[in-house]
Amino acid sequence: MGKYVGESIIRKDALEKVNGTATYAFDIDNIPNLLIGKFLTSPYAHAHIRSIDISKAEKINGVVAIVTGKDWPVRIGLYAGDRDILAVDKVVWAGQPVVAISAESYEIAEKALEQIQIEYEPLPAIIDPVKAKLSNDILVHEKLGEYEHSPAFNPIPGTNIANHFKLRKGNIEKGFKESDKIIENTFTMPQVAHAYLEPIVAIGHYKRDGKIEIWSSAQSPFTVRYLMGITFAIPTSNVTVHAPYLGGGFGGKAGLNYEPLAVLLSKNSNYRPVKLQLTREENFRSAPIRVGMVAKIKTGVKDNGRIIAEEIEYIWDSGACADYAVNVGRAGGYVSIGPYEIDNIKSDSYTLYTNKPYATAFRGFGHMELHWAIERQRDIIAKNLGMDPIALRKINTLKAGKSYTANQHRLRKDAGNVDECLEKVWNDLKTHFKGKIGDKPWLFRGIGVSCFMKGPAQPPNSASSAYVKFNEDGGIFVSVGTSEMGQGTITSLAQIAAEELSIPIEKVYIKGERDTDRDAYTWQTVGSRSLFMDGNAVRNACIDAKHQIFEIASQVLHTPPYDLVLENESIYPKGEPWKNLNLVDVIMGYMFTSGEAIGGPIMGHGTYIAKMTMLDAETGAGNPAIFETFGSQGVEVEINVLTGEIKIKRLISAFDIGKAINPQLCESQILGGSIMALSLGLNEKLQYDEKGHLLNPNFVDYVLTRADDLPDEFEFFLVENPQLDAPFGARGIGELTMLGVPAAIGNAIANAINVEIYDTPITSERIWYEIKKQRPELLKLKEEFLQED
Amino acid sequence: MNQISHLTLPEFKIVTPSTLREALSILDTNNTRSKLLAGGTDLLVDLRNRTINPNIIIDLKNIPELNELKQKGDIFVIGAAVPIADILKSKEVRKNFHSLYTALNEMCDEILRFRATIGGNLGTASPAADTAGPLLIHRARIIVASKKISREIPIQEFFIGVKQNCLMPNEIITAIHIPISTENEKSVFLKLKRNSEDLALIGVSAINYNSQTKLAFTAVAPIPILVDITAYISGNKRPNEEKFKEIWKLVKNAISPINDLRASREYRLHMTEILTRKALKEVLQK
Repeated sequence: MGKYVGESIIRKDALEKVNGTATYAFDIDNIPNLLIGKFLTSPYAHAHIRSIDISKAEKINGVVAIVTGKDWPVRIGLYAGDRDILAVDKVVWAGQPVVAISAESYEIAEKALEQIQIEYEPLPAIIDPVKAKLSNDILVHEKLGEYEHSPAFNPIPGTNIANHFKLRKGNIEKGFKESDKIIENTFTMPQVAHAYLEPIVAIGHYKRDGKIEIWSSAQSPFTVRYLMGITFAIPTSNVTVHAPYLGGGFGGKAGLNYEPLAVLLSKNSNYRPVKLQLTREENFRSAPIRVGMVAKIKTGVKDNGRIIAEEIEYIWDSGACADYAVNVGRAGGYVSIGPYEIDNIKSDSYTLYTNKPYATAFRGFGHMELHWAIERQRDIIAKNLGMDPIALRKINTLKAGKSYTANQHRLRKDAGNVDECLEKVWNDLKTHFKGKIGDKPWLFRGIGVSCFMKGPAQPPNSASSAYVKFNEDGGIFVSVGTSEMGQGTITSLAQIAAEELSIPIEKVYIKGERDTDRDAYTWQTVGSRSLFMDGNAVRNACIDAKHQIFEIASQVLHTPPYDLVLENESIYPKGEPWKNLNLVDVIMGYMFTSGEAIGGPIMGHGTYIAKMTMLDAETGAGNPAIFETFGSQGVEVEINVLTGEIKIKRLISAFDIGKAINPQLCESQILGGSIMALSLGLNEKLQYDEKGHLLNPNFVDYVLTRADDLPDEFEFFLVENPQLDAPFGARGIGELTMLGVPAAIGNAIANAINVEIYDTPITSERIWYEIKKQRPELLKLKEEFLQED
Repeated sequence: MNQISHLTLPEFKIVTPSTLREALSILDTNNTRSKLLAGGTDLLVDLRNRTINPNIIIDLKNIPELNELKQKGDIFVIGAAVPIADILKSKEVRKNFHSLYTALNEMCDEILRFRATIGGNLGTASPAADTAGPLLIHRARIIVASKKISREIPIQEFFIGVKQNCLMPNEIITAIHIPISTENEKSVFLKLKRNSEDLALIGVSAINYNSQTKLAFTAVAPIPILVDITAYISGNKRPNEEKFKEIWKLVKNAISPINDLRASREYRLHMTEILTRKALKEVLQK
């Protein structure tokens, strides 16, 4: 196999992205009569809206429309309708849009916003998700019981709990009773921002004929289309969504965001289109962010290292609206224990409302957070038992054919192999490791690893489709629904088509821009699902096209279709390549010398639908995912114990991805993802004051890893145990590339200086603080430091 | 006031004088309504946030008098509007003022260094101004001019409060004069950052020349602080632990780091001590 599959083909979007001609939603300003949209947000995290006075603003020349929540009081949301397009009666986070304006220019819009007066009655706000869980008096959503929600979720009216997912297996009490040691810890990760390069953009056009056209930086144009139909009570087919290239998404553009507001403004602006383009500060305050996590873990273990019981409580800080966060809580719930097999499990995963910006999907979908907790816990257990952390893991890892989630479901036999990944990473780290003491007595070195698994968190009926259409020159146009946001999937999909149809990759055309009217459908571009789902659809479409080609060719070559071969743009009977027919003579219909013609333009279509089940509400039992990608990551760190400064010397990754369709794209995902995780692990945190105001809505104080902070060495291994129902065996890798990094860093720090870190970001200040608490004697080295050579 | 994240800048007139005389005369007639542009890395942010609202912005980047970069006798002259990227190319700066060179090399990021200037850095008078510490220990003098007179301000008199300096509204910083020492001079600048391209959480500068030892601190007090520790050092040698404790006591009394989202007061104090140790190590002998 593998003329194109397995090759590092140059990205299909490389040229236009390098020369600057690629179009993003941000660039679109050539729609006739386009207006500018801008919104005013709440300064309070929680308050009743007493009054809104727009009288001065509406008199300003050039202001076209001013809308408030009452103009379209439909609650929107992906899995639960808990979000106002504009706040209706009360505001639930500081930064929530309350009034919006359309105007002829930004200058006018900004001037008009200054003239709007809103009177609030501030309410006590709930900022801490742990307190939110216990609070019955401060409720973010008093009307939770009235909200519509998907049956997969379980909100609890009268509380701040947006979803409660339960995983139960075995008998937890019995498990703890039989344990030799019980180890309990709490780990946290804060809310963070996606920090994509292109802020959110939505252009909405509500047309006179009742149709809606949207241009949006959307990861899931088909979901936007579907939800917009519901929001404005029109048929899905009356909505068209264009999703050009995205300047990064990372889950932050996966749901329905500012499209409804742009369309509402357009509806009230005499049907003129309106462009909403968020500034960076607006994007921080008003666009969705990533959940924060608090994880309490209690593990029962035998002296021989076998983990026999684990009780977990995950609290997911979803902010003011649940959006994808309920599903993060659900996915985090069924993967509670990470890539392990444990006989007795009791896990409760709660998604909590708080008065902060609302959380959505984020690359990893809760798995980086939960593996931070689980994989730190694994190393702490090993330390408690005096065991090697690698040996402890190997005793407990989830193997093919063994049960996961609850008892009923077994991991498929052709699943990936986590042990193989772990060994590759650990061997590489160990071989290069030169010892614990660095060049100076206050510099310590350590190595640490982590394991992880993740599959796409999608509904059981999540589907993809594709069509391939031949052109006169023998080239094909491939249509898919998945968005291109930098991940490179369209190139891999083109490779799958080229391979299946045996045509040159240069002749495969695939676009990065999406148009829901013309493109094949896919559910969403999320969860590292596209290569598997859309890849299978593309392959099926090519097989369909090939059948059509053989149907025609068999009449010309007088050979049954099943005896034909398509190779290098020609068709011939098996074993007789000289009896060939040029592909180009068949694809638009074949004409005999007599002028009689058969067939017609070839267009193949293919679909793929997930093979999963619903999960049992009481135990979580069932098949939650079409595949699980397993992996392991490790780092070597150097710690300066006097300052808490940390340097990542080496970062090693291994993933069992079944098959690397394009190794270079895999490499860029691994580099991009692990650097992103490094930044999240070491620097990133949305900081709020006690009233819920975001303190760092900018890139000065929302600290990201910069080029000079990167590790000295990156190394990676692609393990290829193919999955039989995957396109050429390939599983997804996009999100996996970040899951193990923070925990590996935490474990390496413990290995270096015997100091345990429980919270991220692992800043220098945090490391110093923990050294002071756990090993104050190390700070004495400062005296030696002053005098050394 | 409604909180608005502006995409636009407020309306203003921008003038680009080509001589110092012209610039000073425009400033003299408009000084309450104007702002000077010497790089703009702070100015643009303030404009966008509407924290300032000038009628006129006077762009100083094209004034030849403000773009000098040369040695004049035993003084080195750095024009107030010379981009940091150009100063970094000067062999003299690199050779004579090690701490200043380091501070400039670590300021903001590579792209901004093509716009940022020392005049702008000092004029903004941020407590965290990276050039302030090195200029303090190198005994720099700030040359300012107004329509009528020009004067020299010793740098230790320049800063008077958070983002406040002693300039009159009609004055412009034209240049920085730094004496070139004939002695064997050693200086250092150390900066605490959260990533490799951060503003200073702490800046510590140290110098040893002619048997004198001085420290300067930025970002740990409302203004940059100079501490002379010559009395605690003998024979250009590092202090022992006991002496260091006395030096640290002196420093600790001179600074007043704050608690904020960037770092806690406690960590800032600890790191000021560690960086002070490191700075002394580098400028003094064992």
